[in-house]
Amino acid sequence: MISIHSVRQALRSPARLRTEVLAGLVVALALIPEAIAFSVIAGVDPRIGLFSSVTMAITIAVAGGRR
Amino acid sequence: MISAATAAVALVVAPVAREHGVGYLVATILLAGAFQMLLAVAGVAKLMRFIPRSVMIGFVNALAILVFVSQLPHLLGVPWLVYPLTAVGIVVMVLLPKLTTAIPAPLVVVALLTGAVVLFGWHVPDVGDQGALPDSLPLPGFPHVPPTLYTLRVIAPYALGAALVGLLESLMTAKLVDDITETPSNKTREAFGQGTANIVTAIFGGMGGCAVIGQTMMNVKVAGARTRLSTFLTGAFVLLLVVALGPVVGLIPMAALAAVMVVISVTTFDWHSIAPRTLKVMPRSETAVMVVTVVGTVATGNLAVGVSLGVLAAMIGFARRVAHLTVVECDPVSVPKTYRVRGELFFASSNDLIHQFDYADDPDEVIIDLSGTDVWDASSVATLDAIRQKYHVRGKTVRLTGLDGASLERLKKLSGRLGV
Repeated sequence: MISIHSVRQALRSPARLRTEVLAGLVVALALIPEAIAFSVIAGVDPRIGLFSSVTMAITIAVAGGRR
Repeated sequence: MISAATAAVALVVAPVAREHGVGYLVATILLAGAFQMLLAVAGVAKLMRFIPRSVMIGFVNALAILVFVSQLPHLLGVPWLVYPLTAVGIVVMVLLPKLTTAIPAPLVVVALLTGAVVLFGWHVPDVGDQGALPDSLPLPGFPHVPPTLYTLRVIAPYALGAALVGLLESLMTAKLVDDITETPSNKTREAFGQGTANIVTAIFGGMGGCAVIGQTMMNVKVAGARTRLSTFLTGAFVLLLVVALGPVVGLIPMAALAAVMVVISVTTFDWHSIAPRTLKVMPRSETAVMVVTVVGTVATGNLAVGVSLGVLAAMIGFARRVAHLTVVECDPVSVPKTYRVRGELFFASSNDLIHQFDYADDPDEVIIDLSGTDVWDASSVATLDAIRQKYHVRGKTVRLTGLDGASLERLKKLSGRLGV
């Protein structure tokens, strides 16, 4: 599968790996305030939006259409 | 591509949570995920081409307006201290990205304002007032709703709306990422993946979501990520931070979040689309489609409704425009008398066709030259039959010439078999 291939390549290259890890961290930090705000929009506890973001991101990382 | 809880989906399902409780919201997301999987298998990715650019812009603008409006309750009728805090937050949100892109501005706003509020002991509404905060991981399970037909009737329309809106925003984001990275992505797999992600999220009691344009751009453009790894790590880091910082999250003042969301809504809005210079050159019907999408969404608070109305308006507008190009010319000196039809013949253009001929005063033999047209549907064949009939009752003959290919096939197959 192409997806596994590109991730494996990233794991082998330290520079690429560092970019991916930092990107993940920065986006996570940006996501948290919004996830809380969206929970408030939907009228549910802030934790629901936060955990939804976790499961959405992790699942789509595996199941999404981009390698 | 980053997927998370999003405003678009939250806005669609908010009424379910408000009127029926969180259990129904989770059930709605579960069903929305199933709808998305079905739509993916049915080829929804190909249907995206039926959504015109003006509807996409309308979607973005309507989303921006709804997000902005959703923040008003946190800004109206609140302690006066909220206003300076929000103002500082907005200033940081606007100015910080001009200085550095290494640290996300929303994070700085939240950290700065939370720190100030805690340090000075100010009393302003905070996240803790909004509900319970994460202390432990949610356990997987099925939503607590009665498995009855009534439940299904309540959630189905919202589930379909959330499914469509989620797919629309996700596939729009996918297209943007394709453009930036100049690599293709599998849209059908993305659509199916969105369904999977929503089902998994619902099983963990979540509110669903879709791809987020803002964070995806941050991930791809600014941070330079290219693989699934960054998306996976985003989820892992959110989990880690939320569990580690759980109690602190409750101290975040709503003013900080409102500042973040107000700036996001203003930057999300496509200002170019309503600039006088754009409006001047843009065909009026395109602007009308955009406005229909926006008004339909803002009036119902539901993006799915606005997009549906926008697509409908665009299709009607298109059919009208093409129908207007259909003309009938008559060559008065030719023998036998010849009418020439140019433009496309279909339901929108064929109804007027019948009035274009001078049945009473024409000679006994008439030719209708159809070489400049195509016959697209049964409506047009029925009209051509009716024209022939009108000449026939007056004892005149009419010949249709110049048709070929699929148009001729259609005429042969349907002519005389359409009843009245």
